[in-house]
Amino acid sequence: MRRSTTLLTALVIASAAWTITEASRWSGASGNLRDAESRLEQVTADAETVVRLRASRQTVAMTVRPREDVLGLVNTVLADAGVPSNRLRDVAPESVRSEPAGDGGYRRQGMALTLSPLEPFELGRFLKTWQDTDTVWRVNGVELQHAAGQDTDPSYAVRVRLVANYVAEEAP
Amino acid sequence: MTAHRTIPAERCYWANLDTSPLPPARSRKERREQLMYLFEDRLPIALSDVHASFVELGQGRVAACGVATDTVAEARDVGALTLVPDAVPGFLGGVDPGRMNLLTGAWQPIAVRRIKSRWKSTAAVLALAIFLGLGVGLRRRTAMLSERAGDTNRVIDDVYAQVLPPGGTQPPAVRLVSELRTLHRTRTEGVGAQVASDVGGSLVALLAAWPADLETRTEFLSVSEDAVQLRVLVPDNAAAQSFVAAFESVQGWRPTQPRVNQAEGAIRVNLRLEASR
Repeated sequence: MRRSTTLLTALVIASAAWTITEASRWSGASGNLRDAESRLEQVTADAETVVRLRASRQTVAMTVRPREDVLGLVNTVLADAGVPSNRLRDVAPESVRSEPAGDGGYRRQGMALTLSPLEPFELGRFLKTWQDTDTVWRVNGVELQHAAGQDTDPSYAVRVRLVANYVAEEAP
Repeated sequence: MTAHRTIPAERCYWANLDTSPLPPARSRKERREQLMYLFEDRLPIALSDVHASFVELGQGRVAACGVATDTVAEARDVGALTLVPDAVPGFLGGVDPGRMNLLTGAWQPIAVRRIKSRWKSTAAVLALAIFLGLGVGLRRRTAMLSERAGDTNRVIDDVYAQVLPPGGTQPPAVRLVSELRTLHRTRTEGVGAQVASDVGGSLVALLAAWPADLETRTEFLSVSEDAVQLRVLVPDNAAAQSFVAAFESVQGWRPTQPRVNQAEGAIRVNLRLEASR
């Protein structure tokens, strides 16, 4: 009688201990699921943002762009706009500087193109084609200088300033 | 024969014990031993020949009722379930005699002992069943939760696979954060107004405001982020006034005081517009 009671008591204690262990495992699994669901929510939101941003136009490069890239691009745009490539007189790189606005650690590199002679409609076509091109280079300034003493000539010497922003790894 | 027997009060040994000098007992057994030693002083016979019952009276007082073990054994052997005195002396403060059952402890009847044992076994079996049921339920629930967590993690992996390019040595979570950071810093929406702007829109606004009905000859035109500069030749002062007036309401630009002078038989107008944003 006493032995069976002892055995039964031991069983009750063992089952209680097992139940406590299972409760602990259940609590752990419950926490894991909560974490996973929360992570899924975050990852899904981030993935949607990535897809949306990828669909938008890139406005800033990750690194400084080589000069050759711009030259190739300018020639392509001139050809697409129907402007003879010999109108491109000069391509002059400008020094790199930090962006004055914001604290994003961006830097700006510039490039000045001189196109001459160029009629206003040709400049319009060039600028429109440039705007339609997917590039980080933006037209940041345009100057038209009429050739002195040639009143009837509709051509101008045009200076187009291109700038590209890129991400500076270290704040300047 | 009756299961509940009484014993004449004269056959019992009575005492009103003062327990205040006793140290606190750690168990009921120790408490009983303490009370038995206290009671011993009041007994005319050896303590080992007496079985006693105690009832707490409060304020450190305990009522003690002792009976010779022969009497208790006799009652138990004839099958009695309880043995109580038929009365309690007045100096014990009117304790209910029914509370002084003497068939307890070592003298507990076998029938009562069996019932108690059975009750304990039943309770133990019930507790065992409850714990087992609860444990099994929790185990199944844990398995279900783990499966759901596994499914969720697989969905997360799918999302990573859809968004991130294949390969890469970093964990996907780190790669996603890095990709997001890069995109935020390089795409239109994330960058905002922190970088150089395109002056194409400014040029369009400027040309749209250009007075079509005036004869003008543009010598110089410059458009930048901050300013627009114009140098044109017009036939006369009235035309110069009309030309300047045409640029007074260009959105985002504020004209400054123009400079007008005679040149080459015409009027030269120098006009500067500054960004008003």
